[in-house]
Amino acid sequence: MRKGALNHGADIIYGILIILIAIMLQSFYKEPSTPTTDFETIETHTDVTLFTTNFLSTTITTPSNEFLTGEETYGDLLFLALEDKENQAEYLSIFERTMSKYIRNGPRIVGGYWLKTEDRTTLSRAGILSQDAPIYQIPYKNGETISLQIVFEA
Amino acid sequence: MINHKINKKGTVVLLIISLAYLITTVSLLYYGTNPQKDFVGAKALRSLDELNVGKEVQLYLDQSVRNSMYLAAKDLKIAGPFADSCKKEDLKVLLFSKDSCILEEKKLQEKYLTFFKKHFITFLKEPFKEVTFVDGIKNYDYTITVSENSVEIIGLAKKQLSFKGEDIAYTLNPSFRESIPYNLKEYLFIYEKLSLNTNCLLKQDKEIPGLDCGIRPSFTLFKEQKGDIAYLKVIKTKPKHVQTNIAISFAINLKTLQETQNNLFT
Repeated sequence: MRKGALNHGADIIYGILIILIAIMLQSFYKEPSTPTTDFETIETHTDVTLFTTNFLSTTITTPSNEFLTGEETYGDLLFLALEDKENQAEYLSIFERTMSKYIRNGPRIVGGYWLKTEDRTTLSRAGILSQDAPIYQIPYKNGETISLQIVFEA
Repeated sequence: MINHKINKKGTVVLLIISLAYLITTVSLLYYGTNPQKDFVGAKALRSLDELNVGKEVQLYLDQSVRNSMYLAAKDLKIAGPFADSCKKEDLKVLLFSKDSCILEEKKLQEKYLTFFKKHFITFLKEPFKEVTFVDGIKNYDYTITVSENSVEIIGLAKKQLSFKGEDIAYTLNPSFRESIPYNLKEYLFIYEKLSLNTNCLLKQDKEIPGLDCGIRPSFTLFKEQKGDIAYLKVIKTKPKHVQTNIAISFAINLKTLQETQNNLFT
């Protein structure tokens, strides 16, 4: 009688353990990431990095004028736009014109871009925008940066 | 009684084994060989993304160098090309007198480089993309080359920078070589022309846009005279390259000018 009672006790403990394992397995289970989503996220970020770094270090194709010698890079143009507030519109209009030409020749079609200063002032924007698009930080001065957000078309 | 004791011990052992099994299963599940539930190729893609950090850091550095070069050009325009120790009249450097300073190319380059470093240091204070700029501006040996229409600065790094990502770790060489369209030599050219044409300058009115006097007409002269001292400022106004245009402010003591005029550039 005693032996049987003890066996029942062990069965109850096993039962409880199995239930506990099931509950814990359930709580620790993570939804595996979808390959396509992750692939696209990383690929887009990689493409934005390449696009932005190549683009910013490219020398402007605009010929020499009142404001530019013709040897500045796109990165310089953004810096000059922030430094020379009086003629900012001139610099940004050159940036917008030349960027639209540049992005047409890129490996992926750029759906839009968003250029903001550190205090979130929009310097320039075009096309379809998304808050989730990767951002590239361009140095300005005294630790401040300009953010360039690129959105690729699907 | 004996059976009761054995069964009790056995239950405790079984309980311990079961708990160990539970802990092992859960920890394998949680900290297992693939904790992120990666899909095939995810690590390779992430590695590629982490490799790009090096590219981003290099561009950050290069653009920081270029911005610092433009800012240094602006500083030089405001402060003037002469050494701080030069003799002054009402805060303006006194030129063309016996004990006044002479503009030398090497000192001009040094002053420009000092302004450059003042700005460059601000870009290296904080890490970028978790990459720390070891030793800041002290990590470099600088070489400045001035040609007709450009200035080039080469920074040879003494120490490498390191990046440690989730999947890969590497070091990168933060050396740079950047040039901007800036005619630093124009200071020397203007200084020489000014010294040879002081009489022409002194005859001019208060403000002369398109100044000649041996200087290109893209300059504007501002002149003010108080007693024997003439205060002059020559600014390049065209084209409107705000960052890289040059300016020289100086004073001339009319009394001492004649004594030294013939000794300049001999």
